[in-house]
Amino acid sequence: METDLRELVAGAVGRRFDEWSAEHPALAGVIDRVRLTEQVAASVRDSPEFRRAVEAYRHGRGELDLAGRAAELASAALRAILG
Amino acid sequence: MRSALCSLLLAAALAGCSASPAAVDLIAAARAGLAQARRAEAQRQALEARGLEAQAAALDAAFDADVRAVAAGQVGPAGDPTALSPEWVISARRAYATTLRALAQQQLRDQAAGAERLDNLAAADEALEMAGDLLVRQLQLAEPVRRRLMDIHGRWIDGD
Repeated sequence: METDLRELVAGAVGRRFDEWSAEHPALAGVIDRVRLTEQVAASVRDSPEFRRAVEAYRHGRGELDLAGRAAELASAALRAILG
Repeated sequence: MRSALCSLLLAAALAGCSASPAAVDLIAAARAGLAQARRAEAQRQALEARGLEAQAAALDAAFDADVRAVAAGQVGPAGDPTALSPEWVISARRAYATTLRALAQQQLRDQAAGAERLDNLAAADEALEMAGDLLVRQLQLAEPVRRRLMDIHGRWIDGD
């Protein structure tokens, strides 16, 4: 679960960061992408919405629902950081 | 026969005394090693702190460089440079602030972990110091007994 979340977040961060870095090249050069991924993953993991999605998954909801919710939360966390 | 028995008893009695000076030396060597480890840890922490300061300075410089580059129309595709808009500034400021916060948190974590490591080394040193003091006291107490035993042994050997 932890690895899946990290991979999902890493993918989301990679895509958004590439777009963002085209407009902020110097800042992108000093921002550690791995650290950013960890920050976003931690933000997703600690959110009540994600915990609720995990609970729902444990009670029989599909894995896709959980992944979709995690992706939404990762995007929201990224928007809060990168705009 | 009596002499052999006396020698055996003397050897047994002195065995405890003879081990102690060596143990005191070992403790001194261990404490010297711990002092070295503490110096190395302090240096490591100073390096870590300087590394984080350098990262924060690089972040400041990068923020300024981006603002200047965008203002000069040097960012973005040719013919459609990125505008120095409020959205752009807010986006840069958010990323800058988040990264700076992460660096500060990292510094706090490093400092806490470093302080714990130094505390552990200090506690180990304190324990060794106490053990050394105990051994020295033990040696001081045992010395008159050792001398007395040597004396008795000498007299018994002479009387053999």
